[in-house]
Amino acid sequence: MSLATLIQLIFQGLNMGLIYALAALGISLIWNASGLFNFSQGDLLTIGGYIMLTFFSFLSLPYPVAFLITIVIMGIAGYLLSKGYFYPMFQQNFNPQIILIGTVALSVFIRNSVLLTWGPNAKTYTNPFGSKPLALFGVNLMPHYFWNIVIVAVLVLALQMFLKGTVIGIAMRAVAQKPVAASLMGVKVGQMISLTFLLSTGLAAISGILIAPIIPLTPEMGGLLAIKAFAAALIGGLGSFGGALVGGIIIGIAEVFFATLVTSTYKDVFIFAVLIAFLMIRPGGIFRADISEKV
Amino acid sequence: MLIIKDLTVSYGTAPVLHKINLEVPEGKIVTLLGANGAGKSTTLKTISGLLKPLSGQITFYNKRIDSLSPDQIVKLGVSHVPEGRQIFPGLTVEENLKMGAYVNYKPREVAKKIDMIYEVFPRLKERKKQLAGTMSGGEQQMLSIGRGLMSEPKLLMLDEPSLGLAPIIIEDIFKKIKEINELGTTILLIEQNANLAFAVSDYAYLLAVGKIVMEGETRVIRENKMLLAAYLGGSN
Repeated sequence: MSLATLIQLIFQGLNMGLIYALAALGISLIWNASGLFNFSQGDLLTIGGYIMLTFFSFLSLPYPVAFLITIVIMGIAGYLLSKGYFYPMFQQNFNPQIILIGTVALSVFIRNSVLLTWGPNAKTYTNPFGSKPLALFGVNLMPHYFWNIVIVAVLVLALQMFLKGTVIGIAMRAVAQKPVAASLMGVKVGQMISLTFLLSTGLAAISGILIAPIIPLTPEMGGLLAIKAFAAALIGGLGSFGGALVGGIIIGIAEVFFATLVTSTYKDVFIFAVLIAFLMIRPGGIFRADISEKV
Repeated sequence: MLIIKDLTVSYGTAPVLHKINLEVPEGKIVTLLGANGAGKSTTLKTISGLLKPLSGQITFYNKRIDSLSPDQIVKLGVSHVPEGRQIFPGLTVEENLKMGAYVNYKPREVAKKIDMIYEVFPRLKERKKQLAGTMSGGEQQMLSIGRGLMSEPKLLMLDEPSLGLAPIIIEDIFKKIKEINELGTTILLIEQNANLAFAVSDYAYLLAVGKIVMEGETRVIRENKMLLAAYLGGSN
């Protein structure tokens, strides 16, 4: 394999990996705040992609405007979802397994709503970053590779600043660590959990937007994406911020290399083999989500 | 300042507190004594709004607080330092203190308050950037009390601050409790170790299986060794 191909593959894998990483981050945030494994994270990503399609492609709004509208809509949806659907179940002390099934139900609901609204056919839209590869040192790289990296980097930094530097951010982390103590401080725990859902669906929306130039939108795309995002979160260390990023990137790159060097038919099988190997050797993930790493 | 009248609390159908009456006068240290499972922590949790009473009332400065939520009660000036410290392990010492001031968060005032806490507990200043979960038990207890003071409470409720600490550190913590009280904060203290509690408090209540069985000024109550031994066990 030439160096050019190697660089090409790394960029390609990194791009897919960042999408998994964002979804994994959303999963980890909710896991920390509420101990809930959200199986609808992948479908929230799908619907984010379709909302973007509607505003950018059908309604021809400028890319940044459509981008922001999509995030806002999804964020509000996440907030309402938590207030109206998940939080009542928490408050009634439902068995966690039942709430878990609740997220699966939501996933099925979203998937079919997308199917009804936008139809079964795969959809794409014009790549806003241009579809002509840039030739750099003999390597052909798509412009969206760079944009995606920049957008995700800015996003991760902003999220870190929010969680570490603002009172609300600190309160969100406090609720994730000791909910009862947090309520003794006067933090409204339910509100913080809803805010976490808002952040998490916002992240899902962004990954749905960024994925469009890489793979076409289909109603059921969220299923496999979610499973890979779960794999990313588990490999990195469930609940860990850095772990979600590293886990996502590992999966993205491993997938691309396996597909190119071995066979693309079994690339998903390979990823799950990697996950199983991780669960056997290091069940806590790379960054075992210890107290220092919990988001 | 705090008056509890005929308070009954239950978990599910099992009553934990049965018609207890208790009063905390301004400026004093009042101790609630009792063996494990007597209902001491339940009393504090009900005052701070984590639990709702079945019947009875709690008034704070003549205002009923028994149906308010925890954040409203903190805002009125009641701060609860929970059993087992319950600091936020993954937050730094400074972030923990900031959380203590959450209900009325003004950055400049919070910085001043944090400095005041550091004056009371210089150890915390040395560790301000450290993750709270990596500190020793004694330091965590100091942090938990410091965090409780950040909301500038009129009443500070301490649930077994001596739990799991070495005697020399307990002595230090109790000195600080006395100091905090002398600076003007009223304190409601829960202790299993009666001698420790008697050393600092003005008035004591003895709780046994959900009922107040004895109360009085500390200097009187501490003389009743037989009764205390019967309720608290021989070690006291």
